[in-house]
Amino acid sequence: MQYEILARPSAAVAKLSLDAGESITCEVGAMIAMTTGLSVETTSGQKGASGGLLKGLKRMFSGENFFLNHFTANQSDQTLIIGPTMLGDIVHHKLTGGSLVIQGSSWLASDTGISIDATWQGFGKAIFSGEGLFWVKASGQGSIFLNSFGAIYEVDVDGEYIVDTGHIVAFEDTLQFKIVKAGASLIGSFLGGEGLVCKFQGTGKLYCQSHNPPNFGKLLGPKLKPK
Amino acid sequence: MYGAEEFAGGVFHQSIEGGRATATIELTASGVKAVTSTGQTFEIRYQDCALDVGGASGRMVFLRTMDRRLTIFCEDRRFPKALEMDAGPEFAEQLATVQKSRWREGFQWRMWLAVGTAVCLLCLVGGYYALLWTAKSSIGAIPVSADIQIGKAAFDARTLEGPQVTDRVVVDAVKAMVARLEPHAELKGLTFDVYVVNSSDINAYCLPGGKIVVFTGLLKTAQSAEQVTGVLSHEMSHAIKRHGLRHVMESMGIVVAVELLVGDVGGLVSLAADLGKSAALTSYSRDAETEADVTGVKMLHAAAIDPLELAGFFELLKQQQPEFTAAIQWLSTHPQHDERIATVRGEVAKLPPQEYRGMEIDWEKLQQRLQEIGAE
Repeated sequence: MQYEILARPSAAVAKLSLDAGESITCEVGAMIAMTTGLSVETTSGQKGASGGLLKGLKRMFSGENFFLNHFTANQSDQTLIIGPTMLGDIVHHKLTGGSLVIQGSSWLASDTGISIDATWQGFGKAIFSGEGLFWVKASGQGSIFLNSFGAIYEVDVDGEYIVDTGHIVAFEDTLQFKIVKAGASLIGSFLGGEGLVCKFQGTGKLYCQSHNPPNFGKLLGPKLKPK
Repeated sequence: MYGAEEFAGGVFHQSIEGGRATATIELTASGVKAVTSTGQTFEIRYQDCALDVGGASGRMVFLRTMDRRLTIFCEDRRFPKALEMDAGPEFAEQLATVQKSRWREGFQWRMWLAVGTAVCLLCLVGGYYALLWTAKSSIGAIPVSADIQIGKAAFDARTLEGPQVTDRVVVDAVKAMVARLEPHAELKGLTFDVYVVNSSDINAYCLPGGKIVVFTGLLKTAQSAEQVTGVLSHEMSHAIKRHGLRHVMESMGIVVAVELLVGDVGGLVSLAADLGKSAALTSYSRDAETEADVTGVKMLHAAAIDPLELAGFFELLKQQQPEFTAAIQWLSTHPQHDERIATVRGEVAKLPPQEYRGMEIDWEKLQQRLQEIGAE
């Protein structure tokens, strides 16, 4: 499979080229356009694997859809264009084993060999991280496409790194994060507008997004006229 | 133990494409060795090794060179123990945190599972009783026509406990008693129909909606028309207080509660027809029986019939009970005589003065006719 990410970073879409027999698993509703030699199969689990019901339910808790769409090329040289619901960026991550922990709704697509499950990051993180209760956990080997609100930037963490709540897209399983106050004192942290932040520790890749969906919603919401 | 086990893990090193690769980890006599899928081999000696515990799970073990240029990591459950055995007690304290983290996560999950289960059960049980309570509370919103349908369905489904008596003297006498009480029923819209059955049972009942069945055994046992009217006031009170409707709801539970809340009485009618085949529809709780006694006393008083006649009938039964024990079905589900007599007298004491009038029924003639028609 070849890929090309177009219109980055504000309105990115991923153009995927598949040869006969190649497949890709996508978020429900991600397909924008495709050539006619692609077939679509919808399941609640990994393509060709059983036991997807529980995983599907867990994914729902993480903000993803119960179902997954598997696109398979029946002929050579097929094109599939996919994109996220929110305006923003798309990035490609090559998973070479281990897992990638993705914030709910940032998983867009992945190779069919990658298992998409949900994982619990603890109650404190669920409340204060600005993300959902559950996270998507992608495991295996292959390509993953992530989407964001705004632009995505990539950080290779080796030691410690701080990200504001609501700006995490994904991180490798070799990283651990804790919720800490931004400043020396809790009151100062809140007065400074930063409040609580996510402090990452360890070694691994971290993807962050330039914009924060909840903050954007708070800004836009009051300006909308009631229906 | 060295080399006995292999563990799935990974390596971070700048010589690897992308900086990271999965690897097979092995503990050797001198250190930790990692072989990637492409065959690259990395090794850290124990004495040059720094250990961290972290990762997304909080249980991943990282072994690094002091300059952090090489990191070998592993999340295998067996790895911490094997490392402790092979590398000695140097890392014991840090590795213990992995075990604690696993235990803590297990405990947290069990706790959340227990709390979640308890909350779900509480919601289910609470929701069940809340729905039942709502349905019971909304009984006043159900039209009286529902009672009439239920009573008719139950009446049609059951067979009378003996041949029906059609003698005008007998039937008209009972109808006259009912007619005296009917204007004072606090629930309007009920239709009181009278059926007299030739049976030695000292019994009478009133189905929801107002169908009254009186056994000749009751008419023969009572000492006056006022006593029979007292019993009828009690039975009519069950219909007036809609005890049958409540009883069906309590018996059939949640299904009927939901049907009532959505305004569907069709199911209720068919269920009542099933209940009507047995005596279930006319068997009430002691509270309902007491309420019927109290309501009956008020009706009798309003109809200018001495309510103490009802107490008098209980006195009669109390005296005659030894010889009637098997036959007095009417009392089988009812409170004890003394308790009922006390209830009636207590209620009478609360009533304002009233000039009572007797029933305009020729009691002697009624008894004589019962003899003539061979009433049991």
